[in-house]
Amino acid sequence: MDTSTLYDFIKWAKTTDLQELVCKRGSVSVEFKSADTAFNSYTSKLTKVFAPAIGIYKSKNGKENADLKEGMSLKKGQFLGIVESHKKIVKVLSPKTGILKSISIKENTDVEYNQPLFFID
Amino acid sequence: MKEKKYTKILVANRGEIALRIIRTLKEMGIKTVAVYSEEDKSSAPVLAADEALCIGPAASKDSYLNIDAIIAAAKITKAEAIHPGYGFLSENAKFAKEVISAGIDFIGPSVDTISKLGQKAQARTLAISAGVPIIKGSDGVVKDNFLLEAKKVGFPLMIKAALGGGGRGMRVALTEDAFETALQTAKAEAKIAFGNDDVYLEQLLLKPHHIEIQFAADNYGNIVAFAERDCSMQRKNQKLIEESPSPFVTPEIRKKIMASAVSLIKQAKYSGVGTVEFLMDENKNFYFMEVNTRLQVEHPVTETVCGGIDLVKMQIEIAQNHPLSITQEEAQKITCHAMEFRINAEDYEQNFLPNAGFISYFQIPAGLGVRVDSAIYSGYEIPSFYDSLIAKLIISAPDRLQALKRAQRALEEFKIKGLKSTLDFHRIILNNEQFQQGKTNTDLVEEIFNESKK
Repeated sequence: MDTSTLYDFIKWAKTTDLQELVCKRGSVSVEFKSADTAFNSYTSKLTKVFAPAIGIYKSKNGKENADLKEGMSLKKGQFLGIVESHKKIVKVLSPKTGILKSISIKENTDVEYNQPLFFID
Repeated sequence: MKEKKYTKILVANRGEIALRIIRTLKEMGIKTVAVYSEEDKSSAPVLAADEALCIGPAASKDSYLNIDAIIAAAKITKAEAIHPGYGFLSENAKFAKEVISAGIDFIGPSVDTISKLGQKAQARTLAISAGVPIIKGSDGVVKDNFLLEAKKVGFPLMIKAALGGGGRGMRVALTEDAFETALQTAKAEAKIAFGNDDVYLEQLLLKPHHIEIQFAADNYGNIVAFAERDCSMQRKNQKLIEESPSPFVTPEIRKKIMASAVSLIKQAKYSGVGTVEFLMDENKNFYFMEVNTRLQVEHPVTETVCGGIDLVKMQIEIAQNHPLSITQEEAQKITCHAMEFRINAEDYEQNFLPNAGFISYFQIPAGLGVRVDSAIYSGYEIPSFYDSLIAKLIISAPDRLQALKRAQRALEEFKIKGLKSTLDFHRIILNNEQFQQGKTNTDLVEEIFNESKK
């Protein structure tokens, strides 16, 4: 993408009320976020923990119980629950040591693959 | 058997076929669920479906071949049935079994039928018991007296490695004189490739025609067969152009081959929609090849030639335990000449090398007798993870000559910018005299291709 196309693109994007815009052409990708989305940028700086599979999220698996509360500290590799994907059980583990800032999933609810479940600082 | 009515169906596929199935489901008033890999987030079927769920990353084995993920998606959305489309899990007996044991209907034949017809030896036995002609061959692996066995089969013949596949350990012997050398080469190759030099012999058809019969069978023993599709225009077993009726098949042969297909399907106790594939020699003798227990890429050719029957709708109705809604008379009607051209994202000048990438402009042809099944739009990025089919151009006209002219016109209107496609190669085929005269066989595409390189 040359700079004149980029300029036109920015100019046009500002005239819309879109909050977020991603333009992909071949290997080049341009991403815009409006001021409104900046509200979320606090959380987006945190480490996201994504659902490793599609299925049902559960905080317990046999003897393992995640017992999560916002504000608690987590160790890298700590058990955060499971996703039950039909017959397959996929564990959700903390990718880092830190503070659990936000839980965005309820017990026994459906999750899609790659849906953010937790935010860690 | 109690008739039922689905309210929601999950489509376990992607691209044009997912969209094609969703279209019929919408017309039937059935809610649709699309499942997609991360790569297909903004694909046409995802946008067209009532609900869409991400089931995994781009690689097929983690998404479109991920049995657990697809069934989990069906359970989450409370879909009553899964339509597998073609390719991916459509002929996977294990998948069908898992779907059914999860309390969900599988749109297709029974698990038993899929696994029985999926095994070459079993399908062959079934064909024999149904009185369907099969290619002559040795009685299994030949251990000694090779030349004697070869003479029994007759020349020309093919020597095939028992554990073979992908063309390795496979040699042609056109005459008796060439047999010994071909046998030793095949055995040596098989030994290296598969660690076993067992071979069997099979009669070789020179320049055969690929003729297939689409059929539909309900749960009450009713079967209908449609007029044949001629898929001889293929290269390395990849079909490029399919047409119906075949320019090679006469009404008498049509009757015979349809009867053979029905007899086999009856023997298999098949329920659902499917296709029996045959090879036909110069003397119009036909031999059973295999049964495809799913919808085929080229199914629109049949939908068009018989006057607008929706095969996906038939699949759904059969799964709902409805009796067939058409008679044999209606199914075998030839109302026009139909042809399908597969437009692939492949560069024919580079030996049909697939090329993924950004489609900057995509304009499909229209007008009388033109149907395009595609999930592509301008600005779409073709992922490199999946097959290269981007569109199917289906032409209908009162006769073959007019169909050829219409195809030429439609191919001129078809504009794809940003990557190489097979559009140009189809134009070359349309200019080939032998193709124009309907003298097709499974070698013709390769011959036209070689000619184009000169």
